[in-house]
Amino acid sequence: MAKHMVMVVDDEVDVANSIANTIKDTDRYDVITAYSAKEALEHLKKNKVMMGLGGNRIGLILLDIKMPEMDGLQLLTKIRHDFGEDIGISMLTAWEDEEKWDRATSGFVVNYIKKPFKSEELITTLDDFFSGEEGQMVLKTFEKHISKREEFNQKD
Amino acid sequence: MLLTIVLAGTAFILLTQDVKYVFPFYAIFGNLSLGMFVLLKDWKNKINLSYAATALLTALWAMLILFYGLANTPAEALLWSKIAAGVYAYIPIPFIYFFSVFPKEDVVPKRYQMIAWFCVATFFALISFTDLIIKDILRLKEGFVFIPGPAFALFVVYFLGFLVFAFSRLIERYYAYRGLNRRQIVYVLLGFFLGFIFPVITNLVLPLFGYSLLAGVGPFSTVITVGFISYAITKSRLMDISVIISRTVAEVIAVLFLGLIYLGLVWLHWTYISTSITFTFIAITVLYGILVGQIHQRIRLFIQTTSDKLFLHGKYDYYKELSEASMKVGEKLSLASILQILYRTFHDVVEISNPRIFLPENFSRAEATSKRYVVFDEETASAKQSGEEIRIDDQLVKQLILTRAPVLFPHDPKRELVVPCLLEDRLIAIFVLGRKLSEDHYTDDDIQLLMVLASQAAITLDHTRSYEKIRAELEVAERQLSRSQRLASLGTLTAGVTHEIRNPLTVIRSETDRLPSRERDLAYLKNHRDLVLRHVDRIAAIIQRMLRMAKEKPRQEEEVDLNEAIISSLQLVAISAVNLKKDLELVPLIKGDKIELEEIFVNLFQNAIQAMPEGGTLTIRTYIDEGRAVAEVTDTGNGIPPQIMEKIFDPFFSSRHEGVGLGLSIAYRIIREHGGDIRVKSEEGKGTTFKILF
Repeated sequence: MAKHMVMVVDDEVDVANSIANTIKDTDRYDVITAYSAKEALEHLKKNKVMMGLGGNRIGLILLDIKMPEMDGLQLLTKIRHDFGEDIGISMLTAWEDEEKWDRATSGFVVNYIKKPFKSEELITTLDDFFSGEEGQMVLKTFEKHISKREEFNQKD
Repeated sequence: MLLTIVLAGTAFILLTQDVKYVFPFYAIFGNLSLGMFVLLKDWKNKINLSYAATALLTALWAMLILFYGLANTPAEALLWSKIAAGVYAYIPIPFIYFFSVFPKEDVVPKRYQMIAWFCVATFFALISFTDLIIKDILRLKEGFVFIPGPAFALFVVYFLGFLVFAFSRLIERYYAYRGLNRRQIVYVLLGFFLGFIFPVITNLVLPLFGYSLLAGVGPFSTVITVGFISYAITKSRLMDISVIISRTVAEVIAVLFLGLIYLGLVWLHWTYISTSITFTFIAITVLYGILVGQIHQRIRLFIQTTSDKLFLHGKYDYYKELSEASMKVGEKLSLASILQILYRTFHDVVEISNPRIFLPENFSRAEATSKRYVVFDEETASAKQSGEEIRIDDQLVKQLILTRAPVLFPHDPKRELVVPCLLEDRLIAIFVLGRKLSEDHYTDDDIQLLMVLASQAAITLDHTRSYEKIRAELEVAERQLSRSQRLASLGTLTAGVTHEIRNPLTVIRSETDRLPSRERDLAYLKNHRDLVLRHVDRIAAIIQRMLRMAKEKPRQEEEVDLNEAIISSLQLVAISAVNLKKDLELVPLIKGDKIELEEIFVNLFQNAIQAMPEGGTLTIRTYIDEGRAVAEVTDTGNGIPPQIMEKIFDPFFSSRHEGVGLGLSIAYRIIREHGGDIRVKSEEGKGTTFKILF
């Protein structure tokens, strides 16, 4: 069975490469890097299986939430719109913008990985995701969103 | 009306009599009218009353002398001369009275003195009708001469005695008075002396030696008295009828002007058209009459205004302007504007040469005590480097505080008048005024009005001091606020900085995590070392900048590159939420504080980003415009509504709920302190551009 493919999207080359290397080191996943939203979308297009009917070779995207031009959240929306719900997306955050966090709910993300993260944390996410816990992870994050949102509402 | 009489009289005399009667007519008329005006102005005032009596008696006497000269027979002439002598005998009474009470009614002749003088005068008046004083009249071909009687010498002694007595009284008073009054005394003394010396010679002294041919023209030199008194009235506000005088002068000039034109027209008609009264002549006359009716008043007013300015120095405008200046001074708060008004008043209204306003050297710093008063400049509202100073222990200062009155130095053109600005017994300021441009001395009224101005200025200047103090305190407070705002904005900065720090941390962490598996890979290790160091340095730099911003420290003066300031401030702002367009050209270096300049941009960038919650483009441009370094920050955000445009630089004004509202006000202050300008252009819904020029 072919290795699962992971795409790292971060505008900072060093960060993207470093994450990609960490993943590569496990030897369990194929990794590609994209340094901008545009590049990420190109990769997604290239990796469609049977014009998209068979899904996408890219199983999980590690997406930086804050990038110039099109930021992570916009890209998330676009991916969901163009490539459906099957691709898992894990958000890389350095910037806990609560409003953005909240908006991300609609994108059903797998989880949030906060920079700087431990390598194990990253790998665990990948391992869990690809061993079938995808649904649970998304649900857990979703629940977190809901409670967070309620927290905001109470604050207001 | 007056003028009509003068002109009609002149015309009448010229037509019916001889030119030589014109001057007597003026003497009579001048004395009569001036006496009447002075009397009507304030008939209860002893000064006015006595002068009026003197003038009217003189007029009457002059008239009688005129009749004497015009008489047909020696008998008639004798009668007139006797009446004239009778009137003449009374003149010394009001005269001496006037000289006693002028210029102030502090010494009034006693009642018994008056009765005694009156008795003496009446005695001489009565014997005038006998042959004791004027014995007879002879007609020579040059005119009448009179033969003095045996008592004539006594009459002369009486008259001269009284005159000398009167003059000595006034001369005595001359030494007792200062300033304006003294000047008035000089005018009066000169006027009366010149006016009386001639008739005394012609009508008293010469006849005593048997020559009385000139008696007929004697009175007419009193015109000189009239002239002097009039001049004194206008210049030195004697008896306060200067308006009438100036009006009369204006009337005379206006009528002469219009009359000359008319005479010119008549002459032209006479020479070129006809010597008889034709229809054309009547038409011209009627038209001219209408014209005169229309423009006379205006010409008169024009002349009067001009002559008032010339002779009275625009007295009435001047008083108005001075009191207006006092009012205006009261409305101002800043030292500069008060000084401006005062200097302008001195220069343009009072027309003073070299006026100076002395203020305590540490005027603006209330806490510091001043040892001397120095000249303050109106432009800079600060001490002038003129070297001129008045020490606080100067005798003059003590005198000003003690007497609470201005000090006159009549012989010092550079410092003729010193006016204190007192508030209780604090000497707030000193006006040191040079001579008036007109070379006149200061009148009592000038001094009075300058005192009013000074007291108003004292109050306002004192307020200004607290205002300036508050302003200084405000500046300190603003600085402190700016610091707390910086601290507050650290919170905002932190968010942006977090991202900046976390990214390098991510790299460092991940790469270090991978180390164990590659400990023998030298190329990797070297690469790893570079990478980690680079990112550690990056973090260190970010922290450094954050600390610099939070710290309060004295302003640095260094050469700053605007572009560098922009680039480093960009690192402190969460700029990646928006598109960034940079168009930085080479601009001249600015002298200033790098951190403060960065602060401007951080504030502007933060505002721009906050104005674009949905994202947008932040454009930063630098370029040179007319030799000035210009930075432009443009966002594509919501724009600033016109109604709040004026307030955006006010402290604590914020259109956002979370903002403190100090960002722009601090940016504004910094730009101002760097001698720059900031301009805003904003269109609602389209965006805002801040243009900063250094």
